[in-house]
Amino acid sequence: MEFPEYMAIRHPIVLREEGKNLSLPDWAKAEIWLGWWCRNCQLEGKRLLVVAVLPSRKLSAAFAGLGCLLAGAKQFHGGFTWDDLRNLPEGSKIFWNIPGNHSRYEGEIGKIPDWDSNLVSVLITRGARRDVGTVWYFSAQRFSECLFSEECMPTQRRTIAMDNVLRLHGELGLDTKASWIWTAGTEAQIVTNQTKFWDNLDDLEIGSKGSNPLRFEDTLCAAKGNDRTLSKLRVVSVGQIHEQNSLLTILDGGDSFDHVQDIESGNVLILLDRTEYTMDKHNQILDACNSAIELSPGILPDPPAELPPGLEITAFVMPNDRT
Amino acid sequence: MKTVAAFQETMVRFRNAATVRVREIQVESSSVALVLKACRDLFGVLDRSDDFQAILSRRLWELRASVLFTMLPFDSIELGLAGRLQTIMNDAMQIPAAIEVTNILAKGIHNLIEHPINLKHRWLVENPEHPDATGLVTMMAMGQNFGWPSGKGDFSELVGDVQLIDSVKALAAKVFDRIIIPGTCHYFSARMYSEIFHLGRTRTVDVLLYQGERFSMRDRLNLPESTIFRGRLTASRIIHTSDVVLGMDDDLGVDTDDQIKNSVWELTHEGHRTPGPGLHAARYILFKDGRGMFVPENTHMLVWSESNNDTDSTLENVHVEQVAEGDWLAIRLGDTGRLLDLVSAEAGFGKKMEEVCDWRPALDALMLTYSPDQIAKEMHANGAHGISLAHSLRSWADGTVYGPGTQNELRSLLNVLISHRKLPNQDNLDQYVMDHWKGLKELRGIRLRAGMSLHSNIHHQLANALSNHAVTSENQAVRLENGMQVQLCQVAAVDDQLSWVPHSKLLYLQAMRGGRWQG
Repeated sequence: MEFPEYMAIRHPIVLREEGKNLSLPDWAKAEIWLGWWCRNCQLEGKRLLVVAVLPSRKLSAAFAGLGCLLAGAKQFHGGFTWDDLRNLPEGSKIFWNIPGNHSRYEGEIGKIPDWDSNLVSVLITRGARRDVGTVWYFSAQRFSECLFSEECMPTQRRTIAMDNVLRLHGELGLDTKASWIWTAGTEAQIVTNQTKFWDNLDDLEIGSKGSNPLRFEDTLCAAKGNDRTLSKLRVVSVGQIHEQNSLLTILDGGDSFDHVQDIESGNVLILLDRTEYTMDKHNQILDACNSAIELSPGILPDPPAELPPGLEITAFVMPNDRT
Repeated sequence: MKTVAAFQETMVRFRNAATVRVREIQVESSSVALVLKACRDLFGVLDRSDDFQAILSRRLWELRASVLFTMLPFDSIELGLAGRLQTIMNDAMQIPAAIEVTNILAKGIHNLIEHPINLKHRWLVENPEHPDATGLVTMMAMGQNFGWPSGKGDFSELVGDVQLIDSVKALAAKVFDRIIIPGTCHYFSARMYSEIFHLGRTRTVDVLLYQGERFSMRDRLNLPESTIFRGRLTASRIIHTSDVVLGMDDDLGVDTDDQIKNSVWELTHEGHRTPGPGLHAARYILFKDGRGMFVPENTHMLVWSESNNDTDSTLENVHVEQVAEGDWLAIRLGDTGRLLDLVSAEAGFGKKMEEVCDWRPALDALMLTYSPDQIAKEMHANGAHGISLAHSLRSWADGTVYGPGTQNELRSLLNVLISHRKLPNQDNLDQYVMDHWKGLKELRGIRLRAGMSLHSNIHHQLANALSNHAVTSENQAVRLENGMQVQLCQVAAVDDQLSWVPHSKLLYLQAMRGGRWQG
């Protein structure tokens, strides 16, 4: 299977596990595509419910999560601009990094200074100790030298990793804007058993053919559980679902499936292994199938003509109040 | 638990699952065939409503299973065929109708003991393809390792480098080239069966059968088809080959294993295989200590996965259908519902429940004069979806479920109640529905958080309580700080079929009828 043209992935993805180089198998491509497709298809007043039943879902949520990020990056327009900063109300929180400087800053927007209406004043509330409590004045020029976000900046290590992700997107032939990664808001949440999820990614690296691979974990730009720092993906446990809203929720496993009704908005992708697809789940999916909306052809991007064996997938378009 | 090379394992599993080869292999043994036929005939003449003959039936089943599933020579002391036969003969010879067939059985067993070469074992030795990547299932029925020496001995002399599979955990520990099943799969739990045949854990399954044994593939549930993916999916294949010739049972169109399994089930379980008034659907779980219980279908059980590292031990909520041989269940002794209520009450659950489910008395009142089916029909006419509304209505009325799962269903329910004048007319129905819907979601949120908090509390305390124990011991009761007692029981077998039992038998842990009789 090849990635569909509309995904715009121009170069092959390769993996490395325990020092061994591996090409991306079809089932993994299909899972990346599935995450891409579920995130990409946002329908006015409707929701997409997709269920995939697999021989193993050990890495499925991670691959689907990656696909979801690629879709989000491709769809992204805008980002946090100088005008956005200027229009923030007084007292708003704002976060930034200065490339090359190890400190992460947090501040509160102050009054526009009388002497120059082209500056924005910010009272530093967190950052390098010597700066806390001082007021900085940002010009358009200074703004462009910093990475601003409305969400708390990640740690230094994750910041570097997120920069590397931009490099990876570029190596795959994608035209991802740097502002995508620093703009607040996630592309999806993955509801899963967090320990297993991260353990499975431990020794896995991913990259474009001929380049240095990155830790798979880093390419997901993910925050774990209650970490509220800037991220493009949230990986949460079932107990944390009710706090979240997301364009796409990936329910990874039977335990997560049982909370499908707690997902109040956005598309839902359910990943189950074949033992987890039990009669009660079958009945729930039949119920969903009965209330699905017929969709005119061409509204959604076509799935690949032939998906690889092992992947069993069904998808329905639902009214907004149902999953 | 740390997973090694997750990607490479997954790659192999997808490849295996794409095309699984299942080979039924006939093992010719006239002596075993004679024993199987005699067992079937003797089973046929026994009156299992009589306690004495019921016990005899069980012993006969055990003898039969020992012959079928063992890899040991038939004269081995561990197998003890002579002793088992003698016990059966002592009883059977007192039943006139059984004397003749018992003598035939004795002749067959004596034949086996005099010519003790086990042909299933010989086949294994003569077909040593990739022994280090071959698994052999040893737990064949009722949690018993028939014919295997007790304890964890060194089996390399018997089976070489082949890995023994006595639980789902052993199966899940690696990916195999080949799994050998020394008999039919009638007694496997749904999960064990799926793990072997559908999860890509092996490329090939070899099923060794004596003449008279019958293997059949079980159906797997498939997702409903959607127009979006129609014609784009590639089905996995199971290539099923068989060199089995028609045996005595096939001549009669009868699967003796299945028949005997059902008869033994009737003998040992206080339940029914068919629905009846006042009976609830349940699945029977047998533990290794000989006790067992009926668990309502759709119930979730707490499965404890111990790890060498305390922080990696997990307590998972597992649907009863997915519980499998070898799992450790954390059985909560006492009333956890009460604990859940206490935790929920602290978060204002009771008051909220009264507020948002104020339609419940109205539903109760309507159900006095209308059946759930009639109400469901009216709800459907009011725009509700769902194929099990009538069943849901009962649950909403008795409070076991707080209310409809979707706003649409709630709207149609309230509409029906208003149209029957069980609820007052509403000027702003949309707002009325919305308020109740929001309330229901908050209610569920409170309960969910309470459940999560209790679950995490149990997990934490259980991990602490067990931290001083190197290995989990069977039936270990752990008293938690909140007064709850949790007992760890290891699963021996899980029924793959549903049974129907009275409410009083649900989740009631007791010895299997007749006590510990296997093994």
